Amino acid sequence: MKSALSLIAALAASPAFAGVEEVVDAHILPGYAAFEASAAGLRKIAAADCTPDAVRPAWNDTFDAWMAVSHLKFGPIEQDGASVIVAFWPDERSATPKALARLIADQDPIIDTATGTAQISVAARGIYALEYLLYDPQFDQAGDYGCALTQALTADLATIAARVDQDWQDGYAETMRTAGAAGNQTYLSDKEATQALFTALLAGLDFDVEQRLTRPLGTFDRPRPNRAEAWRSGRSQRNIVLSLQALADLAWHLTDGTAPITDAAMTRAIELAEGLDDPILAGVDDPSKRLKIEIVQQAVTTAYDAVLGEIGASLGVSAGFNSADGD
Amino acid sequence: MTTRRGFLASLAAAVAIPSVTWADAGSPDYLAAAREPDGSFALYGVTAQGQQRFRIPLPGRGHAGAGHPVRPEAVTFARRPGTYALVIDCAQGHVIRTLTAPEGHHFSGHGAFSADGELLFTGEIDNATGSGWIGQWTRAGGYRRSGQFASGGIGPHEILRRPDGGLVVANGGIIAALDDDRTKLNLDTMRPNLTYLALDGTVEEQVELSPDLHWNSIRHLAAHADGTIAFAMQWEGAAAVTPPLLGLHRRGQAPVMCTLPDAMATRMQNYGGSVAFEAAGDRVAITSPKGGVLAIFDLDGTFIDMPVRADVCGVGAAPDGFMLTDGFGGMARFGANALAGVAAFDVAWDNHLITI
Repeated sequence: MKSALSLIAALAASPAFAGVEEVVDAHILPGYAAFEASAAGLRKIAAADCTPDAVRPAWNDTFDAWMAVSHLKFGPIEQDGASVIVAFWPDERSATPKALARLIADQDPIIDTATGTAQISVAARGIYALEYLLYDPQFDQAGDYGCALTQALTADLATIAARVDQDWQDGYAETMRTAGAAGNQTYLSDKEATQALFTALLAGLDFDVEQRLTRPLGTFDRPRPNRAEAWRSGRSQRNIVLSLQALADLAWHLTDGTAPITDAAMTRAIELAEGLDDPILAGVDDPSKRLKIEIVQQAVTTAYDAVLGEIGASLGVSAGFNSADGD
Repeated sequence: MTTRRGFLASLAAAVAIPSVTWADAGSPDYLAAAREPDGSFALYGVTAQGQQRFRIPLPGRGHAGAGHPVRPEAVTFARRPGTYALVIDCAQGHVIRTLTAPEGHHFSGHGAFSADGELLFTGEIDNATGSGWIGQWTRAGGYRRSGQFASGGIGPHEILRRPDGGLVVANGGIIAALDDDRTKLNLDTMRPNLTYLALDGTVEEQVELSPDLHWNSIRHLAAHADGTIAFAMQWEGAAAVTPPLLGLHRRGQAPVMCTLPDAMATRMQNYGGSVAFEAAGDRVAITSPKGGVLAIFDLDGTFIDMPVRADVCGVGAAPDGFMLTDGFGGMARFGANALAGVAAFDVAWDNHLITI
């Protein structure tokens, strides 16, 4: 490990940071615009025909678009906890199906208005709640109320996506671009904006390893396939690939393509994830297939180390002086 | 290295001129330890306007510390499990005394002065059992050890002087091995408490949380002028649970737990890093460096706001709200209702901001 890191240090010719401006223009703004557009499309389709068969393609498009921005856990998406509302996962206590079942059992009229829907449990809102409604047999017979709930949740999601997209366009993009300028109260130095993007990159890779891979892998004696993300819709592997692609895109723009070790590690992780041929990571339960998933897990961990060693070293930052420190 | 002669001389000077005050160290409003870009460490004195008043090199990463109520003297503790603490003359810019934990103890990382500044109290943990002690040191004797008493629980962390002069201790409840990972040995049975102590060690009141919250390690403290104690916690239980991380306690009453709206609760990452009341007013803030947020509550436990600041941990009272420091060198202020930048230093601010 030590030799690998010193090799990284030796090979790293300090990446130059085109940095913030390029990430905002080429990665963030297009990402949120696409998320807004697909969520708006989802709302429209569900309003016209709320049956799962009709809604699923637009829901998948929206999930794809979300995967391109889900790692950006700062700025407008964090206002009022929106990121948790959009993506309530992992859900270790099965709060989502419980909350949905309660709404349906009560035929709760709170979802009749947008204001009301915004007040229901966060577990019953967003992309993952919709996955239950669209794919889980438990909600097949939800009837007219289930239909209304699908429409309410898609509208709620579209409202949030539109607000976040608008907030980026109206101000937060400029806030990032002017990091360190007098009067910028969010980013006190240009380094702080770069740091926010670097942190998002690291945290995104960590989330892929810990939540999307390590949780379903469980232990050899006790694999946990039902902990795979979005297995009901068959998206577990797809989400890993999409997330890695988004993170590779972020790393590329952040460094203006001057971080070869990171790029190589990201490319390898993406190729291995694409090659899994295991949409719901069912292979965690099969010794021969499990190894392939563990190799992806190791490859993403290697990419994390590359980002930390190569990009982090040249930024002069680490994962966070205090956040990494138990106290 | 402080020579004995140098030590005695500085001590004599300090005793001979009782008028030496924080003004002689540039009247800083806060003390904060930091890591420098070159990897070394230092103690900074800074003002509420973000101006540096002094910078004193430290031999290693510190934890928290305490400022003398009058004299420009600060005690900084080694990082846990640490066995030394440094008394620093902030006016002269050097270490005047190294305190060594008694055999078999290590420092918890926090300490507090008595109101008159004549006694220093240090949080200490028995290496073998994890049980807590408060060490007493007398300033007049050159910070000599002058006593100790039980902290009232296991694994004390922060200790604080109350507005009425007594002490309050966060007994975190955790027995940690003295290995590099600080492996936690008793999570199943941990029972943290908040203990009010007289300066002679008499236990005046103890507060335990409800059994379902026994995994909530009470670690950091702040005191309101009216005597209300705020305690920040770190959750050691199941990650799927998002318990309250801040409690408010008034003597003789049950603690009020400060809960967050459920969409916000997960953002704290079940980790409270530091806590402070504002100087004039009734708001209290708890930071989460792991979540990059702070949560602000009213004195009755009502949630007010959750501002975002990456790696934020240090928090102290500011005249109109809170002063905040983070691991990326930022100093920011939360006033009436928004964060505003104060200064950007090229350092990584360490966990705690000490208000002078």
